[in-house]
Amino acid sequence: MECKKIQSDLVNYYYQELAGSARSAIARHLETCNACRQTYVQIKKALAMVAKEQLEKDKSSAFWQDFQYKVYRRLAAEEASKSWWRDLLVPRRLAPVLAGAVMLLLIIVTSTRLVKNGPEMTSSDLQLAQELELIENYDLIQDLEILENLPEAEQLRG
Amino acid sequence: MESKDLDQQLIEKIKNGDQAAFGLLLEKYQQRAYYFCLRLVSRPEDAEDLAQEGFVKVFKNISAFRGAASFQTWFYQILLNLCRSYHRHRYLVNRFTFNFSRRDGEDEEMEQSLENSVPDQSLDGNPQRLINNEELKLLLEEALQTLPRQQKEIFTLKHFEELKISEIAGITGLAEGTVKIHLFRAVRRLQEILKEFKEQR
Repeated sequence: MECKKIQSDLVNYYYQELAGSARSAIARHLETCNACRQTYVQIKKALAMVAKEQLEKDKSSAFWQDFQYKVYRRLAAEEASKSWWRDLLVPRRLAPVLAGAVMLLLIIVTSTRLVKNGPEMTSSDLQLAQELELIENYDLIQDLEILENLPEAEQLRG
Repeated sequence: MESKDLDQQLIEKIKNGDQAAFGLLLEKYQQRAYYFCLRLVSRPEDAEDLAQEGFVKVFKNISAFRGAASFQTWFYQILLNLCRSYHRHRYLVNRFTFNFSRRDGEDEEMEQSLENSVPDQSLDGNPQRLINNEELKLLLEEALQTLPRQQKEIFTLKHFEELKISEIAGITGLAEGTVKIHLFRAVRRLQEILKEFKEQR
């Protein structure tokens, strides 16, 4: 039972994740237990084979300079796209101009429609207009003017 | 000055618009970022792309970094998320292009990945060829690529990045006990491969 517990902790022991009494207990056990010692040796061998330095040597300083250059280029592109969007979405400087342009456009569109279509007339409006035209052209009106200008009429007014 | 304190100073400077400080942070972490991604995604050009994207994310979100965890923990979280997104994307691409690629024989890499997903295949082939330590190292490296995602991430963070279990728990969002279990299983898998190799010799 103790060996099972010890073996489950051997990886943590290898990576120095155990401290104090837990670490010293495993160290003592490994001195006396052959099976656990063998397991620990196997773990050490396997992990030693997974070499840490294998990858780290294969890149030149030129690679890292290029790496940095690419990061800065990405940041610049990111910044440019952000500015573009900001200008499009929140055009702080252009806001008054843009608002004015929209108002002007609305006025132009509305007035063009009014001129083109004119005010709509109902049938009663049309009838009244025709009657007024008839009265304006009536000969009686001219005759009344003549009567008004007669000397008798002037006497009566006086 | 401790590495953490130096990072914190650099971050404060970056927050105040000091671009040179960002250059120093980039120089300090670029190798670690690149090799970490390379171990998780295997393809050098993709690892480079992901590591660079990681720095862009750092720069963009630096104002949100409050320093509750160390910069290193935060940075590894960013990189890990990028690598996970990369794998999700590739999984979906492979899934939808699987038949087409296989029929036309265009995606050799996927074929390779399928071969790698069978853990012991390289041992079954021709054991006489695996005659020295270099070949065994290669075999173990390949075996790492076949580990389940979480085991691979945790083993990489522990063995190569040399982080503490508590830090790995912080990065992955897992409990320390769970991290230990994944690490134990990953190491056991490597032991098995070593054992099989010896038996076949």
